[in-house]
Amino acid sequence: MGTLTGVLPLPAFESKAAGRTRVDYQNTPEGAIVKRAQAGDEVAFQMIVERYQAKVFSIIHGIVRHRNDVEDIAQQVFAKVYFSIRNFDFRSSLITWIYKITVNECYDYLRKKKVRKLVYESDLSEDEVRRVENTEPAGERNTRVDNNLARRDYVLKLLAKLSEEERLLMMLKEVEGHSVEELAGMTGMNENTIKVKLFRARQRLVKAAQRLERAPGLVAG
Amino acid sequence: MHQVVVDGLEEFLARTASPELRQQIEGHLKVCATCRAEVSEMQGIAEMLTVLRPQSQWDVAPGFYSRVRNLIEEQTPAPLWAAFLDPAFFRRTAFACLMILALLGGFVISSDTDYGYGVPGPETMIAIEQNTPFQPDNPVPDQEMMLVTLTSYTQ
Ligand SMILES: [Zn+2]
Repeated sequence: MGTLTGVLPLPAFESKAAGRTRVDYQNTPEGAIVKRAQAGDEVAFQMIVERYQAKVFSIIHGIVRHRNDVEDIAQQVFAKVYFSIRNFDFRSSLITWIYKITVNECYDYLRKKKVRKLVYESDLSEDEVRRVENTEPAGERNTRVDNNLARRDYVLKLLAKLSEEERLLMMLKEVEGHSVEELAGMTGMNENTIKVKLFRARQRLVKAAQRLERAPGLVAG
Repeated sequence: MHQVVVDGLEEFLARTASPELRQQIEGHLKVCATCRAEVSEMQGIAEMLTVLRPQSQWDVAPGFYSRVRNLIEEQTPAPLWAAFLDPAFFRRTAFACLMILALLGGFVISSDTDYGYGVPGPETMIAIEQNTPFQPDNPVPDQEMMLVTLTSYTQ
């Protein structure tokens, strides 16, 4: 859990640099709830779970796509939130912090489950898989599933080559569709820092993609 | 990648660049193959990442919070003192004590049987010493015995 305590470290010089004013998350209504949860208030923790459970489920579903495991991963995410909430230091918004825990948890899951076979079951429950198998011609089905799943597999492999922070920023930017300005507000970093970090992450992704094209085995996720 | 592209890259990729910035970057990309290739790859990857977007709103099954609580309880390490409150701990400790007592008792009894005739008195000790054959006229076997003993000791 040590990596979670220093989510998005902010070098000292950055606070003076140009960019938007940092949001003081401690003095927001949500900050008050977090402080109560940090002091062991169960009701406050329940409020946090209920506020963000739908969001966490949809993040996990976006990454993992295996319906049966989404709830298990979400439970694990909130258990981690519970055990490490005392380390949350208000540098970023709570949802940014939870987002990072969620993405890390998904990657843990993918590592454990050797994703390749699992994603083939994709969105569908076992009953649905059986139904599709009986109705859709195998050729069409395989092409549709292959395209989507190959893309997902490929993207997850590329993202695995980034640091946790870069992965978080890239996902917030390209998957969640946040602007650089919003990212600055969510993470407590200034816009220039966000741009530099995104640029490095994009370069790293390009390199990983080139390596993957040359030698598919080398960028195994 | 050249600075003119780097500076406006995020706006360019997000299609939020001002017309002037856009023209500036596109003008450079027309003449610089290196930047053109890299920007094109970055655009492709950004597009690819959208595959991770959630497709539908997720309905969380009722009772999720209580399931999270259960998991938390499972994962909470039990405090050390809690072991002392556990009845099983008492049973095990009592059993262990009884076993030690039984072992010690068994040892004492079996050691006692070796001295079935009682603790030897001084006269018995003298009798045992006197029984040891003493051969002052032939000290060689004794010396050999001593050498053997010493050699085997050092080994
Ligand atoms: Zn250039």
